[in-house]
Amino acid sequence: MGKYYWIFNLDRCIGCESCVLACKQEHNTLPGIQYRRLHIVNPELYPEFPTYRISIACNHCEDPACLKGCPVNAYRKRNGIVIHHPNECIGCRYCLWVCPYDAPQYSKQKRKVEKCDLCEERLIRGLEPACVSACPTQALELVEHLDSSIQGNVLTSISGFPEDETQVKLRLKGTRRIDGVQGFSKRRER
Amino acid sequence: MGKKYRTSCPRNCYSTCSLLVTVEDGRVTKIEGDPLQLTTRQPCLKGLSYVEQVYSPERLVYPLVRKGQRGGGQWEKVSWDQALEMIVDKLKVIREVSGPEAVFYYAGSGSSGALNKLAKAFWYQYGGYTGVYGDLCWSAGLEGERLVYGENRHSDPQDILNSKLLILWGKNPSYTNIQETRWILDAVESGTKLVVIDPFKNPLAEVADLFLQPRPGTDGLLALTIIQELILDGGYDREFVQNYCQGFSELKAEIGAYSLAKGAEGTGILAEQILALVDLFREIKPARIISGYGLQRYTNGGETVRAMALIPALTGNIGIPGGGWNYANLQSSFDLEIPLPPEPERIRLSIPVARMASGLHETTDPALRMAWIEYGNPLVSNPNVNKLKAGFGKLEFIVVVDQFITDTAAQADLILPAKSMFEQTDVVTSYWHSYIQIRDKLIEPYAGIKTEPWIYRQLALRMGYDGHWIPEDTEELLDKQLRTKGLSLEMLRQGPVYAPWANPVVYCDYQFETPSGKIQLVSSEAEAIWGLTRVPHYRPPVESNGSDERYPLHLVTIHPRGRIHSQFRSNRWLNEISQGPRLKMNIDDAILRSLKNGDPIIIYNDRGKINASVEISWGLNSGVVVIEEGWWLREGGSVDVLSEDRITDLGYGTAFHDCLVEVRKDG
Ligand code: SF4
Ligand code: SF4
Ligand code: SF4
Ligand code: SF4
Repeated sequence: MGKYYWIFNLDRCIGCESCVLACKQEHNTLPGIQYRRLHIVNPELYPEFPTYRISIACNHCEDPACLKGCPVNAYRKRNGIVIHHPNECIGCRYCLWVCPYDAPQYSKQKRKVEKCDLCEERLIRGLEPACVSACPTQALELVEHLDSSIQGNVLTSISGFPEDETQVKLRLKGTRRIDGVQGFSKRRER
Repeated sequence: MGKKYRTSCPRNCYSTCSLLVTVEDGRVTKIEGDPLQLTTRQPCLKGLSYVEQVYSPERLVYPLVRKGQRGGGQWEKVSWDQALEMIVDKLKVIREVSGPEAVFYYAGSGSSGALNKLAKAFWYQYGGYTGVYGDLCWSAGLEGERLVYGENRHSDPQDILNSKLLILWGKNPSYTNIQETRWILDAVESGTKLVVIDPFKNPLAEVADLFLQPRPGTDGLLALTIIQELILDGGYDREFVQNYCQGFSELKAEIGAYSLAKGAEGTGILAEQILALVDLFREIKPARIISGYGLQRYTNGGETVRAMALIPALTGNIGIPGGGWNYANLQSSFDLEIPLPPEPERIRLSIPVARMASGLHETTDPALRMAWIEYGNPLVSNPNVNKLKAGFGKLEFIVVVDQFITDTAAQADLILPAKSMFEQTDVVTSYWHSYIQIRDKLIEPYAGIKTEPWIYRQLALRMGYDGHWIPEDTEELLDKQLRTKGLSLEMLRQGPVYAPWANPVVYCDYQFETPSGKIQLVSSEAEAIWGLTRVPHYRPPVESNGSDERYPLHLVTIHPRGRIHSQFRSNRWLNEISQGPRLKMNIDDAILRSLKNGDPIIIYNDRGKINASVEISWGLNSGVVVIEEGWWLREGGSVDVLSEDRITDLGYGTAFHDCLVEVRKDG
């Protein structure tokens, strides 16, 4: 098993988007380019399903679709990180098609794709990725390895999430939101 | 690599974060949380976006004079000399002909700092002005809390970790105080019960053990219903009440006016859910109520907070770790005295800020001729925007000091650029934690911008006043004043300082600064000062569901996540993730109006109309609609086009939320 896993706690994410802005600040990305994004799953549209938020960037998959699909090998793995090399990128956007998590972003200005690099430079300096250190609730964590204490407690998928075709290195925790709120569901039954 | 400096965020925000700022070649390049982690660990998305904010291409860098019609958007760049001369001319003529009261001076809450008070050193020498009293936000609740406990204090935010029961009542910290959610979630994970009371399903409601959705403006009724159950059906803390509370028998005698059935009917909450909450209060200690600042923005808001504040007392949760009543914590606030010239007699504080729209029209003798507006954007953030705008329209000269051409600045005759928080040193306190902090000067004012004290000093000198009241060296002034309190700027540069007089757990000595020295379950001050009853009672809001058939929807305007009121609109990073004004509406109400999710809509009432899109949501009940506030005209219009300029029952607050609307599809 490779290095680096995102651990995301569905119960602790309040949707504040500090992670999104921290990433923006760290990489000073052009307008419209966000390596990390917040998704609200079922924003109270369907009362019988739960509402939760999930913050997603590149999952640095074990079997990355982007890497396999890139015609010029602009994607390579380095030390557990799936790195996109802009010099080689020809802007064909094939990776946007194949990544199930919408992680690669196309920059019209640069005519190239860009993507989360797991804040490799920060990791080398012994720091957490910018998004992780900005999360006020510790909903978002990065671990180097999945030890047994984590493994027993996590899901790899929930409803509404793509099927795991790429051996995603994202694990989900927290079931309170998924189970729903007592007062709320009771109310709806009437 | 640049150098890192400490400063603090001066927005009108609970968190008052300590920040670590990287400055490279005289430019702010990065914002991070302060590694000391005394106030908060991480800033919010707004704090993280300051890098974009300071250097925004929309930032004003020189004075602008109106060309053509007022509000026409045509400006001419002028020098500071020209701008100041123009102001001095006007000020002199107006004082000569009409008296100083013809000038309306208004400072909003947009940026905090002790030096803001220096404005008075100018206006006092001018001989007076017309100003406002009261508050746009929290004052009804402050007074409600003061009537009960004598002060506005709560324990350290971290004390949430000691609570076994948390009642998050009308507060949505996921938007307004994200750092608090960490402790709430930690507590929940360790078994603390969480109850959320809110008209709309905020993100923490989804992890709550119990979620109650009262009709807007009925929180006081809910509180009194709970009190009634606790007193008449047992469950209050007899010993605590006997020792530390005053007026129990009087409260008991009158509380019979409430009942579970009436409470359920009035609040729209199921009786069994109210009972479930009462049971939690009976069974679990320590319990803490964390109140927000929405529920006091009704005409009955002060009494709502006074009633709510009684529950922690009746259940014996005051003065203990984990227990308590969190509304406002003014422990770090201290009067950093700024020496001022003698106060002139002709200061006319005749307009409650809630009624500014009417006040501008009604003030006579002398009528208002000029306005000076700083640190605020009243044409977005104050009630009854259209009426307010018409009031400004009658004035002959309006000066606005701001970093951007806000909706208010757009109506000015002269706009003066304002400094940012990185461009002058000041001292900042909080209303949530108990730390005193420096807001340090880290860069030279961008593009030659001047600070507000500089502007006032230049005006004073041109008017022939004594300039020493507004010194050039404001850091020296701050330092001198800090030293009288045993503090100094150097000390604050080392990190946030916990106010030496603050308590991590308040009222643990059971001393209360009230007339009786005990917790006032009943208050004669409520009667004497405010003409209310000694026992808090529920009166429905003046404008709420059913009071006007033409407008069946109660509009609740919540604080936005990506803004502080109307601030940060010009921030491109934040605009990138903004979805624009969206009105949350229950599916039944949407069907009734043939609205589909995302449809463009017009929200309207007799006071005006604004544009938004509709977001269908199960998270709120039919009859209630919720929208974030702070939108500008060009985005669809301020939500306060719709609100009336009404005052609250206590504390001269603003009853923004007494507001009914109707919605129709746009086009
Ligand atoms: S998330 Fe998408 S872009 Fe990232 S490694 Fe997996 S397939 Fe590639
Ligand atoms: S790891 Fe770095 S690049 Fe990736 S989402 Fe987080 S902040 Fe952005
Ligand atoms: S910073 Fe944390 S809590 Fe906020 S949206 Fe991102 S993951 Fe969620
Ligand atoms: S706006 Fe509030 S939460 Fe955000 S950085 Fe400033 S003080 Fe902190």
